[in-house]
Amino acid sequence: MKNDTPYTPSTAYPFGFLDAYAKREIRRSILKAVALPGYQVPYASREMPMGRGFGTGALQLTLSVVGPDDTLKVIDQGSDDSVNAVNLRRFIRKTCPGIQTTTLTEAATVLQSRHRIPEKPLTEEQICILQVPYPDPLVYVEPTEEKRRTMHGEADYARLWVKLYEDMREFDEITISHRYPTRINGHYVLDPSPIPRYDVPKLNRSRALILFGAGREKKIYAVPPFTKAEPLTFEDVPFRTETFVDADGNRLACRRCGATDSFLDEFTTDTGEKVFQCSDSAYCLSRSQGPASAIYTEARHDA
Amino acid sequence: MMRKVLDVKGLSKVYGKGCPYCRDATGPRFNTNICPHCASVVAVHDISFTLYEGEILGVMGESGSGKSTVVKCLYFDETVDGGTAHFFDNHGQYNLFDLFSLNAAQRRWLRYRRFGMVYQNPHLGLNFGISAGGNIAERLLMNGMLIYADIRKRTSELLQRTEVPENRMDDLPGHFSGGMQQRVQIAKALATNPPLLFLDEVTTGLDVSVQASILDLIIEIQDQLKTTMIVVTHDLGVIRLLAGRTIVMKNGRIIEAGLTDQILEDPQHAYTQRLVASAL
Repeated sequence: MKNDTPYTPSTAYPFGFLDAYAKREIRRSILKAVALPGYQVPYASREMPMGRGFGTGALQLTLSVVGPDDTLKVIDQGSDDSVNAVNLRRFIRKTCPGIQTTTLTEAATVLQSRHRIPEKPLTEEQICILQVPYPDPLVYVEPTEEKRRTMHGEADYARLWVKLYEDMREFDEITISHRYPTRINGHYVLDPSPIPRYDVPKLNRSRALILFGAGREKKIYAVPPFTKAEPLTFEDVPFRTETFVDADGNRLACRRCGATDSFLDEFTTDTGEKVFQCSDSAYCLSRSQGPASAIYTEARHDA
Repeated sequence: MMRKVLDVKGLSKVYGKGCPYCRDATGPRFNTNICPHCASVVAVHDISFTLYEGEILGVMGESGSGKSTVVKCLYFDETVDGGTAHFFDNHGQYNLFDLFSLNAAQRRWLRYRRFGMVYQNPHLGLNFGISAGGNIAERLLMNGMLIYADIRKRTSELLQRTEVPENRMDDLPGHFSGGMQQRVQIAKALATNPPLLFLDEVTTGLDVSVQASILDLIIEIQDQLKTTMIVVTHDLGVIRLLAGRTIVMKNGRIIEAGLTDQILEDPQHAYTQRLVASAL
């Protein structure tokens, strides 16, 4: 976290849009979230000049932790170019004078992401901030927040396991594709935002600090660096991620870069053909065209 | 020597704000449990009994006499306004629990691991949104059983024991008959072999043949597992069949207590005499 720059005469708001009090409150909540891995810390989520659901929770976290010498990357479902990512990036650039933005994962110090964790492994120098629509995994099984809080406090997650049991008896496998309930540091179970199952293992002993911000639900939680993150599962039913294999069992490759080690999105072409492409666009571009391509993308964003 | 399982002394519960006259202005003497001064309902007052290992205690009385409130208080469904209850946990390491001074987490621990409850209304005891097996699995999962194959096996065993066809294990309880729902409830309550089981009007509303099969099942379970039980009912037949000792309640008070045979053959209180006479 960096010192804020003071008001400049030319701006109507401080660096990072939020006032100093709001940022201080959010930083305190972040510290508490880091101290209690997986615990949902309530905070006074501010109104932002965009609708709830657009990533206002993570945006407030980002605005509270970035400083003028940070480099920011914003992605939406792996893409640097989607409407959500481009507009959030523009907003942050406008309200944080001097901040650098990038599409290169390794060049960023702060990453704000919607629904993906980048393919490139994150480092201790980075903070990954995820946008969260529904922070509480227990909402599936218990509608009352007061009861959910007690259940979290007592680590009473039997009813979540019952949900897994029901999946197993009906489909012979656990069918949760995203928002996979994950136990942090052996106690709290969190909703790791709608990241796919493929990304859940990246939370385990991650080198980077991973923060989660839910603006509408007014909650912040965290997976601190090198913290154990275990997806809930039965002892005799191992957790498995998406495999992306064809009918013959061969791993599918990205159409553009040929990667066989990344999370793939499925597209249908005009001719009706199904093709697969890396979800992480920066990873795909740097593999197919080299890291310089990211600079080109960056220039496009500036335009 | 029989070991104590439960020792209840002076259990009281009032619904409403209560007043200093509530206790003295209600009871069998006034033939009401509604306080004429503040309109509070004295659901139970000064209930005391002791329960020994392997024993079945019957709680009998008319509707509104407070018999269900007693078990609801002991099962932590209701808070109490007075009295003490000590649970002697003879399983494994011996423990003594002062039930009404436990914190919420300890209460939940006892509910999930040491007590079982079968309600009159299956909607209170079962989750109708998940399968019968899922309902039983919930109890097992609460107790830390995390191997799916073991959960299925144990669930199947419990359903077999309670005479629910194994092929109905994955059906929703809403698709079951009333008797089968009660049997699933019993299977769920027995999942963790609890030393103390509460049965609240389990046969009420069921037809006679289903009642008989449920009662046979309870007797069989008691024979095999030596589970201590409190059976709440207004049916003298159930009391006669199941309970070794019985307490009779009226207007929130115990009016008579003793061996079941003694109470049914030689009732002392006028109300009990009327009750027994009306059943004959």
